[in-house]
Amino acid sequence: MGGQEIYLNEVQQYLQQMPACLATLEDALQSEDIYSLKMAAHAKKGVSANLALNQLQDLCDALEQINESDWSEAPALVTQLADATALLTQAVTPLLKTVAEPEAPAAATASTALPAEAIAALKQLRALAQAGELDDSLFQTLQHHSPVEYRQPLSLIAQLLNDFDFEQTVVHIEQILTSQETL
Amino acid sequence: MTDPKSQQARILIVDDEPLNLKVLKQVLQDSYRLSFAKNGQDALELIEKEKPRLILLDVMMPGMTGFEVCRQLKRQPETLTIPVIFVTALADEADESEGFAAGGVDYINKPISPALVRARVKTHLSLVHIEELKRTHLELIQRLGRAAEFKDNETGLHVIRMSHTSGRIALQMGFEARFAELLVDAAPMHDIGKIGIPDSVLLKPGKLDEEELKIMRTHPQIGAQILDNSTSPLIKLAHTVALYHHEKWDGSGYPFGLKREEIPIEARIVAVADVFDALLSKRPYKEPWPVEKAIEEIKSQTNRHFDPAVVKAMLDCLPDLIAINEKWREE
Repeated sequence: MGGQEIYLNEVQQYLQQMPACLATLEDALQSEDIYSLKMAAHAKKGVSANLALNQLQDLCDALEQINESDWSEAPALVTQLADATALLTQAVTPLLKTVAEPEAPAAATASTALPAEAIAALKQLRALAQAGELDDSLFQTLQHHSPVEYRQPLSLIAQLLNDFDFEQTVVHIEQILTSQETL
Repeated sequence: MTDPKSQQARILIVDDEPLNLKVLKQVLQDSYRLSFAKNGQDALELIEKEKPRLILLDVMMPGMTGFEVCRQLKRQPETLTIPVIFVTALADEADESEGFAAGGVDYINKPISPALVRARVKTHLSLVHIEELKRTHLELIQRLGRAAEFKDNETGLHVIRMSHTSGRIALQMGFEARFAELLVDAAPMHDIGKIGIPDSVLLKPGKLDEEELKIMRTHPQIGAQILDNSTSPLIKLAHTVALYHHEKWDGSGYPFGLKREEIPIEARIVAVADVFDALLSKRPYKEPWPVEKAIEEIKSQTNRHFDPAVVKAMLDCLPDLIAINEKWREE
């Protein structure tokens, strides 16, 4: 993957998370929960900064700085943030390759046994995940050696790793490994 | 394993936002072995298990904050020395001082600059490396001291007691704490030259004849040869102590028969501490002396074997010296 592709992927991921963040901000406005508002804004400020999304960063920063005396300005800022997100989505969408939506997670119930190389790779991935580590090339090896019917469980693991959710990664790897024993 | 990854230093990156983890992964993955955690609790578990060499830690996380994670690490001796760099979107001086108070060594602001992150990480890893080298250095010296004891009837505790006694006397004489500490570390090597004395002489049960005594009295010079030509202040000090610790104030000592202030002060201090502890200790040829009798002996040697100023300082801090003796008493 080239630098631009990595960047666009991350922006896409960012945009996918924005609706949830905007919903949290709306909820916080409704319930006048200043702490939740600041936390949500702070979290997005850092990510926006790292992705060089300056306008979004500034809006998040302004929201984070809100206190009781200028609470009345918060709704307008949230609206601006929603608008800026929409604009960014418009600008970025044509640049994105159509990435298949992740399929619904399914239990690993494949009936074909995995080859030894794939099992070895799975075990290594599990050991790495237990140490909070990733290895992209190892994952590619795994995909390369796995029959087609494993595409779904593997894409779920890819998703979990992409989200740095090592605990669930280990759980799902173990499901696949256990299913191998009964084949 | 021959995997080159396993040779790289492990760094733990903690942030609740996967995107932030990803950015740091891109920046650091070519040079380091990376582990990731999304919250403080997972981070603490990984740190205990994987012992990373350095931690990049987000401050504002749901649940436990980065500051709290850092404070916990600084309370445990096993994790106390791992450098923690806070990575944060805070821009508040009050927060920064809280981070340093929590034990963080540095701050990196989001948006991160890849070159800056790499430079800071490299710097802090090399500082850890220096600390490790210092520790190893000191440990080797202590082990060198222990090597000499194996050839002698003295025990490991003797060198510990006499070196702490030396340091305490140096403080009493008004030397800086830095010098006193250095002397505590250097004094264990005072008899290192005994490695070069044949067992037939060193371990002879009875009295040594003239020839044997001559051989025995070469141990300060052998020790000095072992410790010669160092640029390390510690080894230089150890060299002086080893070479001159058998000189006597009245000029009747060896190897050179130096007198009074011709003898370096560190050697005059160690001479008193060494004899005082030997008197209080059991040896194959003698029972331990009571403190009062040992003090009488030291006093009687003032202006003969010992520098009067050193003896005075020793008497002035006697309770501490007795405490040192008790702390490392033989079982």
